[in-house]
Amino acid sequence: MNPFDYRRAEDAAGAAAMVADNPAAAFLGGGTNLVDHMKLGVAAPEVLVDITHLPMDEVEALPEGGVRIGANVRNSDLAAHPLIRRRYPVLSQALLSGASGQLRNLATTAGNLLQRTRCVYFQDTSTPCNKREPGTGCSALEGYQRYHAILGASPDCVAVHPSDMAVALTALDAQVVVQDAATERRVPIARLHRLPGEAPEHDTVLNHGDLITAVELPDMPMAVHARYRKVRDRASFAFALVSVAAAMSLGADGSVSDVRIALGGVAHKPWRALRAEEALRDGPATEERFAAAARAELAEARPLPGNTFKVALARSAITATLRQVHAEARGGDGHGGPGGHGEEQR
Amino acid sequence: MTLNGAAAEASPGSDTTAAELVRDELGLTGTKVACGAGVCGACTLLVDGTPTASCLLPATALAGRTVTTVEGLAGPDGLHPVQRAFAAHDGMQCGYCTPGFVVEAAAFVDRHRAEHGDTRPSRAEIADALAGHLCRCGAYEGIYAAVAAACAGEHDTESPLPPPRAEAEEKVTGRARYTTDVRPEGCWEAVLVRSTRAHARVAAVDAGGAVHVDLLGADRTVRYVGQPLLAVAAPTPAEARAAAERVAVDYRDLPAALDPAAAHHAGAPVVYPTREAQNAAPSNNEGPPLPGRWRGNLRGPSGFGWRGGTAVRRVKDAAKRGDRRLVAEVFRTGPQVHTALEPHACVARWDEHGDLHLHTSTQAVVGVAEAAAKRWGLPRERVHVTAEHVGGGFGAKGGLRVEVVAAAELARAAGAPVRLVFDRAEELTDAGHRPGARVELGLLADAKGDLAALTMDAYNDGGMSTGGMVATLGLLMYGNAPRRLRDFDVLTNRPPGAPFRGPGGAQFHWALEQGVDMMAERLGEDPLALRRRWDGNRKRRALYDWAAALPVWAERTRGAGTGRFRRGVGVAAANWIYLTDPATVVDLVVEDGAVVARSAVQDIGTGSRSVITDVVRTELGLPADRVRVGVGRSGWSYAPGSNGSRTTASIGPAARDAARALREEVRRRAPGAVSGSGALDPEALKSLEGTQAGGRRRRDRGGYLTPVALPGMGAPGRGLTGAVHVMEVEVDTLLGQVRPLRCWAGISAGRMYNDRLARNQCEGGVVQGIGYALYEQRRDDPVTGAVLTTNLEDYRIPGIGDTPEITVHFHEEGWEHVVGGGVGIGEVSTIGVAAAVGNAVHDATGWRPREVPIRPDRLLEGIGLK
Ligand SMILES: Cc1cc2nc3c(=O)[nH]c(=O)nc-3n(C[C@H](O)[C@H](O)[C@H](O)COP(=O)(O)OP(=O)(O)OC[C@H]3O[C@@H](n4cnc5c(N)ncnc54)[C@H](O)[C@@H]3O)c2cc1C
Ligand code: SF4
Ligand code: FES
Ligand code: FES
Repeated sequence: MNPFDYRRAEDAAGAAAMVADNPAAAFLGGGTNLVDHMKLGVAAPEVLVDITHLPMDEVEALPEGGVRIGANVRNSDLAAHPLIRRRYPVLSQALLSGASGQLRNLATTAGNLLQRTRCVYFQDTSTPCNKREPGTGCSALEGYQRYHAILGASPDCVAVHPSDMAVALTALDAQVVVQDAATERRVPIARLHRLPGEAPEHDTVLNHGDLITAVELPDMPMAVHARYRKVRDRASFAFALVSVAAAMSLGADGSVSDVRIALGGVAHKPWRALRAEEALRDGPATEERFAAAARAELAEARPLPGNTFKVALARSAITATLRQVHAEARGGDGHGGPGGHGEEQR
Repeated sequence: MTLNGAAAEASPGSDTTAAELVRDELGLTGTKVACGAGVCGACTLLVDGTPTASCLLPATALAGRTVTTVEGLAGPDGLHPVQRAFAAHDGMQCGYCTPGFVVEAAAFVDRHRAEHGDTRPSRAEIADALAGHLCRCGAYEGIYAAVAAACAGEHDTESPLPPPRAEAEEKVTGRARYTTDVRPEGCWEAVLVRSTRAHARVAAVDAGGAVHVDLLGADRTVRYVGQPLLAVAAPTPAEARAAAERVAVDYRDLPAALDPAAAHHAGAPVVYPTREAQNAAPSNNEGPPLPGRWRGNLRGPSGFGWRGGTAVRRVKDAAKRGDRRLVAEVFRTGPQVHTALEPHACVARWDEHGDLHLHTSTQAVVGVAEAAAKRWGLPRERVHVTAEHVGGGFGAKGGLRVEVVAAAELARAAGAPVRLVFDRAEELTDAGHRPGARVELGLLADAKGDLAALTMDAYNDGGMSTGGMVATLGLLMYGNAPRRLRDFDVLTNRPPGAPFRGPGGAQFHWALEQGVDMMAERLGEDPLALRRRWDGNRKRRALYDWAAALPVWAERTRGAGTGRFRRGVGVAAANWIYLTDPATVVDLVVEDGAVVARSAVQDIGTGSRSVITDVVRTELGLPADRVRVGVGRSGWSYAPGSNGSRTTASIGPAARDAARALREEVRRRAPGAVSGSGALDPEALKSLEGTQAGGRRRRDRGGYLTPVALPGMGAPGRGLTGAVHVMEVEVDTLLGQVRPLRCWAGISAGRMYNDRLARNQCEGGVVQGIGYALYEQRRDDPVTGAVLTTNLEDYRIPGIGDTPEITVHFHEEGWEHVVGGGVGIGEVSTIGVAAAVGNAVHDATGWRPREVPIRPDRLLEGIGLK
């Protein structure tokens, strides 16, 4: 790790200015991603602006019914917060499925959103990687592809975004509050992260120096029944092969009146499954339609030779999660449903 | 900050992590760094009471905080209840992960008791709380038990009983010192410069003026990405890293053979083009390599068996006639990396008399001393090797390895002590691995269902190393039906393998024991009954009978299940040889009113200290505080390396012999100090200061399998150890996940010297076998040959939540011919586990896994997900 200048900002705008003015500066949240990258040589900031003492560490109910989460709220505190557990359990589930206790105790909400891909080539400075060093090429195209994208990738980068939390936030229609040196603005979560296109070095639409100060969740009654499901190679912690966050509300006749679906582990950004939502909305909640919705979403999938299995896996995961949230929305216990046998999350 | 209850000042550089600050600047080395990337939990500290990964935390972030390390957990009334519980339930083996577990568990237990009173949390709650910690030894069963008991308030006071493991207290308090904790005054740091090419001639190396040592062989050729070329040293780690970056290497690239499936085809680039180069190829096995002919990158076969021609003919004929009693199958395994949590490390120093002092993380203290003496032309007693605690080995820490050679050479060049510690990426690339294998199995039963022929060809993938011995192990199983067993090495430009806990055994059993299951299905016979019939050995029949009587087996439903979640039960048998080393000696001396044992033997977590302690205590009837044991110094009496299941079988009897000799010596000097039962009077020891005796490892009745001990191997004993594993799994057929639920491990290896430690080792064997079966897979880049799984997040070893409930059963009879009545269990307790998982998955789903790991995608493909 290279030595760096360590600074503390006075307030949010000041922090934004400190970073904006210096191309070699970066914000320091919990450091669990950034420090790792500094050790690996993936990042070498000369100035770190510590923001963890800024007053952005509250979870509060908003007057219009939503919830505002400060950017510095630690992942463990967020997952345990009563407001979140009661009204947005999918967010707690997503957080708790990620990393481990002693990391979640450090990791912040903003840092989690802005964590970078776990692509092995991105993390290995001896290999070409367009995201780390634009123009050098993408090693994954000929290399190991198991954990790479099946949706929305480009010939320049096939990496996936690793955050579990962000997938839940995407299903919840969160807004990200961003402060630059002068003003504050809101970015819908679905527009925060980018697809790689020809500029995979940019993970998000934020400018250098933009500080995330909070994430706001809208009031969403059906979120009470939302669920997160993560498929991984090992029961103990591991990044997702595929993950699904879903919520559903039912009309009086039992048909789907509204639905939210987001996928993780499949694309350069948390993937809002609009096609699947479209296919389901305003129709009966049947097993066939769950499967059809999953198929509709993945019709556009372009897997790599090394990860074709993810398409079917994603389909199964979507269907299983829909079945589960449907049972929840119907007021069931999540154990019934077409599968018969217990459907609880494992 | 407040550190362990007292104010502490430090002014770390901005590039220092909290872990480095605590360990290197404040000298609190209980906190360990095993991955440096947030994955393993070994570095966990309490920051303002919250468990925190200190390897990713800038030290500056500790300013003004309250920090507790493992050293600070104990309170005014002694150890934290969790520390006592870990000691009492033996929640550890090598102990390298223990400080991290203990710190996290202390926070969990305190919180749990505050919220729920003194109640036992569920296994799932404990698993969740400790999910961020990895224990490669697999001591999870003991950890579960310890945490539950501490929560229930069972360890609030000091236990009257000594813990089962002699050094438990040192390990739970962070006092146990490992090589990575050694940093003498004025110590320089060394860094290895490694090849970035899979295959190249090195035309020139420019060390840029650094103190360095050249590590390239005579042919100046590198044969894998990561091969050490050169080592440099400098007074600080940062300077050493900078010096390493300045080294310039002029490579002349050669075509590389990277794909083990194609390396032996005509036209593939050849890894070892000359006889000399072939002979210099490293071995991935113990003992001398089997003979074998070279054809390009294919070496072998080394053929064994009996009536091999008959076996081959019978299998061929059966194939021709389409005989259903022929099982002809191909099974595959990939490289499995040892992943000891303490990396390979050495601190070397030359003293003013020209003696060489080596602290090193080794499983062969004497072996290193002998090899070092030879290499540097010193008498053996002038090489002083110390390995007080060793954070796991599993086979990868034998002999004079590069970290020792480089550190010693650099220490000489620098005129200062030099320390060389592998980082996790080096450890996962170039510290050895269990070679992969493609195994072609032929198993034929005759009309009566007896074994008529066994053929096995194993193509072993040990990178650029030779020595694969997989098929050869067919000598050990299922009677004396005709068999042909051939091992080949397929050489590639990938890192070399090393012996790994039962070399060849896991690959061999993965194939054979699934093959036997397939045969049972064809014959319509119970898989245990078939094994019992084919095996014939009395000791192992007792294990089959035990397994058959287990409710999980007797009451299992037959045939694949239906529905999304399906349960299955699988069984696998395994045999292994045991060795003893007749040269082993244990010395005892009375010092400060206690009996002190000293032996060169290392304790890599398998409990050699405890074996000696227990034997001496029991034999002499002494209380715990009157027996002390020192191990891990080459100057102490001879003991073998920890491999080949021979440590316990060698030191146990030698310790007993020594204890008996000491009793006779005491009787001679002070007849009143020995009671009628042979116990020594502890009070009398004070007046017996200096009384000494030595004990030897006597020969077993009936001698050994070979007339003399084999060089570097010891003497193989008579009789095979045996294991039967019964595994219950649950398969999620929708998402492809396999969850091991319960495992029963039946072991026949004679009397256990220390029951709890032996169980712990067998439990760890199950955990490692599950890792092999389900998660562990080293991956290499298909284009460059570089290892991609260079951190513990990508190379996945099992965590506590992946551990099934494990029950260990020892069948102790049948080893009366062995002095001491017991032999080693390290290997036999793990090699059959993966096959038991495979058989269980088949039982659950009807699909037969042929390749490890049984990943979700393979499973889904296998069961036909559309
Ligand atoms: C071993 C391991 C396993 C993991 N497993 C998982 C997993 O399974 N699932 C998962 O989702 N995650 C996982 N993670 C990732 C973890 O969740 C992230 O590292 C963490 O959330 C990052 O938060 P942080 O506060 O530490 O970020 P930092 O490392 O401090 O920052 C990350 C990035 O965000 C920037 N940043 C931080 N705060 C702000 C701000 N307020 N405004 C603008 N920019 C900001 C930083 O400059 C940096 O570029 C794992 C991490 C590790 C080490
Ligand atoms: S997939 Fe993206 S991050 Fe990975 S190597 Fe290619 S460009 Fe780099
Ligand atoms: S060393 Fe910090 S988590 Fe492994
Ligand atoms: S005791 Fe846990 S790694 Fe050895």
